[in-house]
Amino acid sequence: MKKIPVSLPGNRIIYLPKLLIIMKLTTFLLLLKLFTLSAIGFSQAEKVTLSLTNAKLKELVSLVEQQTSYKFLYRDDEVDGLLVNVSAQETPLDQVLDKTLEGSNFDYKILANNLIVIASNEILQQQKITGTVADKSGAPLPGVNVVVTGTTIGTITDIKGNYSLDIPQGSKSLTFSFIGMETKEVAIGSLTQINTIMNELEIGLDEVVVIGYGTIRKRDVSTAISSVSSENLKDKPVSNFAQAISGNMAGVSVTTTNAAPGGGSQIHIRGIGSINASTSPLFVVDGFPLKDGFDKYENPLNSINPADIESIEVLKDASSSAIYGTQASNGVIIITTKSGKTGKPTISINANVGYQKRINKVDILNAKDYLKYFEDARRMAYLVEDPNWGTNDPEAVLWQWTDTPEARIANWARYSQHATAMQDPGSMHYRWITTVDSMANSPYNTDWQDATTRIGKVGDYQISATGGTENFSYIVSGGYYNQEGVVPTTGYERFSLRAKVEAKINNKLKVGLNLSPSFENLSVLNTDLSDGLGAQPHLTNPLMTPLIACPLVPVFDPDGSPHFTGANNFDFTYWNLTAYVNPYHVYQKTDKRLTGRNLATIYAEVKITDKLTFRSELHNEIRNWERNTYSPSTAATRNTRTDRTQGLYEIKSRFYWNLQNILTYQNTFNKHSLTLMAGYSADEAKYRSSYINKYDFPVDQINTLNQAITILNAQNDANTKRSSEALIGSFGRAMYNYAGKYYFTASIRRDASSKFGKDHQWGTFPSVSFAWRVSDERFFEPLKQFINDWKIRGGWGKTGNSGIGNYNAISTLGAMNYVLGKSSAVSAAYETNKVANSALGWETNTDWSIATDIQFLKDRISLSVDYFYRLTDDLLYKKPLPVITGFDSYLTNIAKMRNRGFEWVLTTRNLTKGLRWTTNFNLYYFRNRVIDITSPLNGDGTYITENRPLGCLWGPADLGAFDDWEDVKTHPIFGATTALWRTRSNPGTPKIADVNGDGILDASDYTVVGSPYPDFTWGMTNSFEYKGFDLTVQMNGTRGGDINMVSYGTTAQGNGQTNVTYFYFNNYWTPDRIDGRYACPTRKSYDKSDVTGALIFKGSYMNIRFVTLGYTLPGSIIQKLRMGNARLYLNIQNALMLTRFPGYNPEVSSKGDDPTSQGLDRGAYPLSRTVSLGVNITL
Amino acid sequence: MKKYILLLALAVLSFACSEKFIDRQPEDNLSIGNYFTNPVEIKTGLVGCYKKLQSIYTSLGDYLPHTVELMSDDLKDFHLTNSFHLFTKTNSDSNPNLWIYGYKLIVNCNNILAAIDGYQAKDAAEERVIKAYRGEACFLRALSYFNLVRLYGDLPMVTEPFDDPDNAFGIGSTPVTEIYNILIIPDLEYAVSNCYNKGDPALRGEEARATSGAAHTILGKVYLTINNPSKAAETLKKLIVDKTDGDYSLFPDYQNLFFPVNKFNSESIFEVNYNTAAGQPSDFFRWMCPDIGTVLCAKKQREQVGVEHNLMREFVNNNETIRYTTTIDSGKVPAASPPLQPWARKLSPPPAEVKTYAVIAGCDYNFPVTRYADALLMYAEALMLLNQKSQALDYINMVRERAQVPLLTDPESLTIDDILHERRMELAFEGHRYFDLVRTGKAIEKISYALLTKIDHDNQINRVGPIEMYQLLLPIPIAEIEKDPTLSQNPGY
Repeated sequence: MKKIPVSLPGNRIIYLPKLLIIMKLTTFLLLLKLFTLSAIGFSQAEKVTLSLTNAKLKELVSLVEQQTSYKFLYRDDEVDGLLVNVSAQETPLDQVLDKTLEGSNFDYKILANNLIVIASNEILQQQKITGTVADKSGAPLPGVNVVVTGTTIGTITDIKGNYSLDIPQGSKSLTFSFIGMETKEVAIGSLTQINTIMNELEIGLDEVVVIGYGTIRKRDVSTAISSVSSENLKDKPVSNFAQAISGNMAGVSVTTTNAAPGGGSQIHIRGIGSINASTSPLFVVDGFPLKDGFDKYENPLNSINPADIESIEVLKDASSSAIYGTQASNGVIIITTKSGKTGKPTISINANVGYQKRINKVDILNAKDYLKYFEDARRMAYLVEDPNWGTNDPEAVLWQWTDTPEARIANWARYSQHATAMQDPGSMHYRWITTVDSMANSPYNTDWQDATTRIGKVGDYQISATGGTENFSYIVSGGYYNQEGVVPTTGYERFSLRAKVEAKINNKLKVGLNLSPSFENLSVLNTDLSDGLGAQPHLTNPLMTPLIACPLVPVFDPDGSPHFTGANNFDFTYWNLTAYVNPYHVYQKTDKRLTGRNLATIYAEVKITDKLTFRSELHNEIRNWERNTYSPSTAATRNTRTDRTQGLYEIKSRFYWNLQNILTYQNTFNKHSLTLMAGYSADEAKYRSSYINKYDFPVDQINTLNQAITILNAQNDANTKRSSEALIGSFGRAMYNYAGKYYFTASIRRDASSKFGKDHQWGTFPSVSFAWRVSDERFFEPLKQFINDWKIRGGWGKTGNSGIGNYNAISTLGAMNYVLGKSSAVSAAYETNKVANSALGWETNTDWSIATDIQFLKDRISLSVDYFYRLTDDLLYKKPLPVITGFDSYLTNIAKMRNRGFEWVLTTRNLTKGLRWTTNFNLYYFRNRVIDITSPLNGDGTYITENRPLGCLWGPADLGAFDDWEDVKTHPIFGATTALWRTRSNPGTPKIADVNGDGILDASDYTVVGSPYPDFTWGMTNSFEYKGFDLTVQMNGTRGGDINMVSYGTTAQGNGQTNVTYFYFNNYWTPDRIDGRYACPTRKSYDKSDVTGALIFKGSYMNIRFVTLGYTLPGSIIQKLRMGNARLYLNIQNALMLTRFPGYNPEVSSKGDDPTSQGLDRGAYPLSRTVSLGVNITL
Repeated sequence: MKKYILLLALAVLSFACSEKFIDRQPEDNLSIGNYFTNPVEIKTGLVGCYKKLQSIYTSLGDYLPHTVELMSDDLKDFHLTNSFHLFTKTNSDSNPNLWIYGYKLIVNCNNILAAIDGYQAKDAAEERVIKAYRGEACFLRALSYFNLVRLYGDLPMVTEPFDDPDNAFGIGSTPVTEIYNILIIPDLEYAVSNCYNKGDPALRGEEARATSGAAHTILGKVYLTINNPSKAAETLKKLIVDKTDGDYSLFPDYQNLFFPVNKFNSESIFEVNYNTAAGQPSDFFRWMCPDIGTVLCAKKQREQVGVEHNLMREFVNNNETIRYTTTIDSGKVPAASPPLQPWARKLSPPPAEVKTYAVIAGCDYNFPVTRYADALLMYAEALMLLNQKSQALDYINMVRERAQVPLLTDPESLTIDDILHERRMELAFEGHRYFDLVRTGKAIEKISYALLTKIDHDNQINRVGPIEMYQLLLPIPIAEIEKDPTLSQNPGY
């Protein structure tokens, strides 16, 4: 094929096939901006000889081309009727052409490289316009399309933002357009120079939205989809995108349940979707549906580098998500990563460094107040053993709150149950009723919270390069993220790479490859340590112990080693203080997790015809997770100064592939637009794990498991496991619209999963949606000046939930062993460990939604309101079975639950000139109800029952303390059936409601005391721009939602052995404060009361989550520096947290995303404020 | 164009065999259906029944040994608040662990019995092996039912696996007498005739398996419990006099009887086996009250129980020294309150060694479900009830002689109280006392005495009034009644 070089401005040269030029001149003109070229003179040396009569122009061209070095450009259709008559002998070409075209409507022009264009006069007789295009900061914009409005005549701006365009006479205006900018039209009039400034696009109704297995124009959306772009993710040094978008989207609650580096966030879309199966949405990265579950300590989203994300789309309702069938019932989050951009290579560098500091502390007692509380607790312990209480005559009480320590000791030594023991002066019982001097004289006033936090650091470094030609594009990027948490030992580190290439092999076939390896390094502070007693985990949890630790003891001993705060027979703490583990002992334990992961995709797309496209994608994931823990001998426990050394090594790997084939047909005829899609997908995931747990390391320096000596339990402590799952689905969708006014979409998917029973392996999930653009109706015309766009949309659909473990439908035999003889030889043993349920099937989520989108005043104000109603049926629930079957329940599809609610999104562009100010506000609420379960379920501090929200908080209904004896005698009491008065309630001890009315207070009076779900959540983002400055303030909050600080029991009735909060200290019962809000602290309590119900707090908060202040260097400086763009910015994360919740984190969830255990605070990682500075450079 | 269509067709066809693609069986676990098809596999199922004994006879609170001792007059909880101990169980406080694990053993036995019944032995030798397995499963099932009926009374009787778990609803309760006659006694009789004898070569290295002697002993206990002394005597006579089950004799040295090195000695009849080296430790020594536990530095003092001082008094008043010191540690800690905190040390390492268990999981002490001394004393009881008192005396004296306490000489004055005394001294903390008291009708008197009388340092009383007759049976777990309303709560609750 002959190639013709054509010159472009800036001395760039493009080679084009000759054929292409002749056939597609129009396109060519547009593409190459022919009219920016200046005509040049003829070479006098080129002469022609020819003779033609009524010939076609083609013949003339052919003869001239044979005799000269000139080439011609013209439009076949345009010159069709042109007949030429010419006769010439060795005549210069220009004369020949002048003569030939004389009188016709055509003219010609000669360009560089001997190219002659023949076209009609109106095209060729032009006026020239030049100018510069810049963005609002003044930086020149290269690559802007400048087109004569209504024609294909145009050009693009050069690297300095300059353009020059010859326009036909009579042209009215120029249209400037650029991706991400608002298209602008400028009238030409008599101007010859038009400089203009383009504004960034804010509400892109013409933006494309990614939906399942396809895309759609945002304007045409008829379902509930929220989007965020990379704009919302940039400049924030966070480890995953979820943290950056919290509060950005209505209907999507993103909560940071564990604020530790790399810790888990929880995402719930439109309520809570399940009880026993997954409640997390499906994540689809560039078409690859991932299989990540939730983990409190490790966030699987971390492996996706936020800097690589181009856009995030959230499919919230079933009519949008049903195309993902069984994986979609909790919504779908589609992540699209950045793709290569054709053109000159661009290199971007982003570096961001910041520091973190904790923002809140729990207000706990200092040493002085601690001693007062300490003494009160001992007075109370003294009182309850007044022997006269034993006479059942409370009126005869002899012992007084005000008795001196000496009197207390004397009375106890004579009359108490401990009288005998107290004859021994060494008896520790004295410590129950008096404060020992060594305690009162302690020189320390330790602030344990300060002592256990540090300044954290965060660094985020990104580099990427992108570029390409028309047939090939690429992007490669690398990122490094590093965070050192505010609590010692915690940290997270990620290396990530990404490469994405796409090649057009020919007009019909396009292929591509994506690779994104990442490597994560997480250091976990384990808060679920067992102290061997199986109870009181708050005494080992290093995030809790600083709250209960005594200020009278030091953190470190003089020799620098952590002070032993466990049970110590020989110092004043023994029997005075609860034994707990010094956090610095826990810090000696290591728990390192390494995750290596690669997502790879290859795809091919075939354009079978203009309207029919076939696409095949093969995705593959290899994930390898490794955990190493070591507990050294020096890590003291609650009872011992040295512990048995223990090391654990665990590997889990996953090999997962997914194949999708999609056929798409798209056609527009008249005003009808139709898109049909059909596809097929199959995937398989294989899991492997191994686990080794060994004890007794000779030395602490080397803690690989080859050093360790003992395996305690061969069967459980060294094992490997294997499993696999498979999913296949076929799906189809039809999208139709008439004139952008009436929309109708229907989709269906049929799925089969290996996780379900033989009888229910297949499920079908249909959906429909409609939309009506009211504003396009004729009758709406009069209102159009106020409301420029109004759409009503709605839909219905069904989705499934397959987020359960493998083999739940199959009964398996559990392997055990038993020693049959005297030696330690074991015999294998098997027992049935699960009830088979061949009918185990999908949870079905049926979803109705109706919504409206309104744009007022030329898009200055836009409002969307969505209502949704989700009914989840066939919920997997543990149906109770009589224990005579060997099991107390089995998993089956019986429960029913609903979520319904509203979403409001309001975007206003308050100021648009000079200072630009945009506000985006959203508000969302949902109401969850369990409609049908066979029997209520008591969780861990929660309760599930019908006609209540899922997982209500459960506990005693707190009534404070018994005021006085009168109160004790007239209200039901604890221990009413026991004989000893100290085992019964008395003044100052906790009082709860007698819910079951049996006249006795006990655990059977527990009741629903709160709901963990907020009344509503909201988010607001304000963006300001002025000259080169930009400021974004992103805030969000919740209203309502109860949190039970379950582990803080000692702060609702101090035990005189642990520290308490000031809100307790200032409000507890004493004889002179009998209306105190809380029970009196007591060193000894026998009444079996429970105060957990006193610790319910509202989790309402408002958080200015991100403040970003940026400055983009002006174009003049940028040019001098030879850069494309440069921006400096300052980011503050958690700038201001306002809440009355007294704990660390109002978003806390001790059990991660377990939907049955929300709203429980068992010690949270402290929230921190991050201040970071960053720079963003494009070359 | 054609080739693309071909490609599409290929892609679709490659998963046409989708049914097979999504059929996934566990790769790291056996699934049911094709297992238990030969004697080796059947044996693993039988061992799965034995394994459950470790869940029933464990040291934890709310499990069998702990519970029945707290309900007896031998053990108390340190804070005097335990509802088993105070007999304050209610409908809503009907802890189900005893029920759950009792039935779990029964279900495992039913499963393996069904597998055995569906298996055709290849030859006589295999038949013998299989029958012994069947006998052992019968023994374990009977033992579990025997424990459950004594604790709960009428119960749902389940003898076969449930093909469909929904069939387990609406079963209702079967009267105790029927359970004895239809299930427990026939099961034990089958076990008597089919289990191996003690010392049989087939049991070499597997002494923890049930023997015909074990079946005889439990059957004797069943007959005593249902007040049939003649059958009891007849049954126990085979074991003791006729020696049809092999050679049993009292271990000469009571002090060393319970040491792990002496497991499966000549006196052993049926033990629940524990072995730390095999990852199956026992920790009955954790039955120590807090102060003692701390003093001895044994971490995990989970069960805060102590010995009733009336038991100590009975040891002391009868000049028991060997059995007293073997059974109880007086737990003297001057600084503690009270200064005497006696604890049951029968199944524990010596106090000096307890310290080492601060970091070790547990120890090797077995739980003796029954032993020859129990059989001898039951035989004596049956003979006494049959008025063969001088013979009865012989068997009591065998036990007393080993304990180095004076022999009894006057047959005529022998009463049930002497036998109960002897059993208490000999078998304390082995899970017998409560059932002995109930069986002999002495429960209300003796237990109320212990709960309401101050003895020595045992001077805290936390119960008003004696226990009542209905309280001798535990309430049926309310959760089970809610699941299946055909089950009725025991009267009084």
